[in-house]
Amino acid sequence: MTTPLKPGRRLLADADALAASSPLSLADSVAEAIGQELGQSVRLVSAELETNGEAQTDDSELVSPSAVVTAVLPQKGQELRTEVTVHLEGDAAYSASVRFAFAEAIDNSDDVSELLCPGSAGWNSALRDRLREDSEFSTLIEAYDGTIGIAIGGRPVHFRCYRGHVLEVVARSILGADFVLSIPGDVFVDLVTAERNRFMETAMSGRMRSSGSGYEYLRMTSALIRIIDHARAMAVTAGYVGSERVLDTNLQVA
Amino acid sequence: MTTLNYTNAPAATTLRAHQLIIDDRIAFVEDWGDIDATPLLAVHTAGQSGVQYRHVAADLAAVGYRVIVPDLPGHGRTEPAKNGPVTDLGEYARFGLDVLDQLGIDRFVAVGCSIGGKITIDLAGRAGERIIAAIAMAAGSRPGHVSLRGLTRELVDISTPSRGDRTYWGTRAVVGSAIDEERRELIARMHCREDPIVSNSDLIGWGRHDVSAGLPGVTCPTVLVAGEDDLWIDTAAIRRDAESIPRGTFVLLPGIGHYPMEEMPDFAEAVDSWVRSAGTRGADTDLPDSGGADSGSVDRKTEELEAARS
Repeated sequence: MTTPLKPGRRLLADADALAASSPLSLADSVAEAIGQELGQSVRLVSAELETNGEAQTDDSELVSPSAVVTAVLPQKGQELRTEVTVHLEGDAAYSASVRFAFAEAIDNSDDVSELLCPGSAGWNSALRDRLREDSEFSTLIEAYDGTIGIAIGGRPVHFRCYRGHVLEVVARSILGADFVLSIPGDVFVDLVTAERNRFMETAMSGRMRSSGSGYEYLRMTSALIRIIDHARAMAVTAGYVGSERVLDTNLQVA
Repeated sequence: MTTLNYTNAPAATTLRAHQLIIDDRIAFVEDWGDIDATPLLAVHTAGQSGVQYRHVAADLAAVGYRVIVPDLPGHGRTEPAKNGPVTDLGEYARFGLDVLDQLGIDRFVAVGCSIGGKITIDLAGRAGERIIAAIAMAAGSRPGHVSLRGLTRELVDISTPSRGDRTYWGTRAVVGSAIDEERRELIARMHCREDPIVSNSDLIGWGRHDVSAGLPGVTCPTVLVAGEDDLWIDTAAIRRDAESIPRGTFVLLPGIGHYPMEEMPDFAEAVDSWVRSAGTRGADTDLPDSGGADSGSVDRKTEELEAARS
């Protein structure tokens, strides 16, 4: 990689279907293919695998991989981490998702925007600033004393709110979140690069999961949609791949 | 993506209305078009009212139907059922037949959407010999996928946080991708006029009502219509339902969601086309003269949408 990739960049577009084998072997094959596409200087540093429970794959089953860059974040020591989320869909029963992190040395990590990593400290701060300047969001949390939680590709983001004010947007608030809406990284990329805010469709399709207080989760429905509005505007600013499709006119709120 | 255009500005129209007495309660029924035209019963969705047909009832009348649009018990201007909110869609089917009986109507076309679609399938089994054609939209024969426990819990007001917000956003989410923002917004805002207790009761009925066993015995021509962008339904299951009905057909609408009568600018022509193609052509079916209908426009619109999306 000579320049950082952007979230939304699709990988493995020309990949052939793989013969099913053990989940770990499949993940290893996919990691190698992605590594080759990203360049010889990258190295795999982590992989989180989740299958649909079909542990025993059938050798005759073909598995198609699809992959998307879901976050890019500079690390200390002039290293860049690129998160890639992969879906493996078998033509019969098997499916799995894998979240990979690849590392690469770079010359100057200051050149990489933290907006490329949803849930990073810089992304959280930018979102906090936007929400604080948004009178509509303030109205939506006017009667709320609590903490909205989301998790993007496993990265927690807590929104501590009190009477219409956003006190902080951080990875972990002192008393924790009232509820957490878990959004897989690739689902989040889809949310922020779609033509319009499809939060409700995504929730109704079961692509996000909530935990904690169901009451507060439902009560904060419009606030969550507004948060995604801002995340979409930030994706446009940061140049996420596909964000040029964004058509919403209600982004100019902050 | 194609966006449907609504080129015809709303026009002022005149209609008849009836206040009937059914089960000792006032029932409100709109009655559009020539009184001697082919009767068409139009049934609304959960929690809504006959107002969902406000843009298309006059069009249906213009293509040759007498359009009967009741507000189901507890909805719109019809008083609540004597025994409280209805959770059995069979009661609504009986109510629809009572409306037609009181208006002196024997044979009719049945059109319904969502719970109205399920009620239409129920009517096809219950009163098939009276039905010229049944057009069931956005509904299958089996119980819908909802949380009965959650819906029952939300019959208590304290358990319904942000009900208005959820209706608004949830409605927008199931309007089709071909629908422009202005129409999407209008549909969602109108749907917020619901009574949440009645809506939830309707949805409990949606989650319980099962008329699948009766499908092979349905004798009338029946068209099951599904919007491609409808997140509420299982399109494959509805297609199988249509295959289980002797004179059943299945129609998939590209770019349309859960509310065809509110989304499609050519809804009346589409309905007329479905009725005429549903095994009724050439039979003694009491259909209107075909001169007023341009069923070809529906096919053209479908082709345009498919071409644009491919």
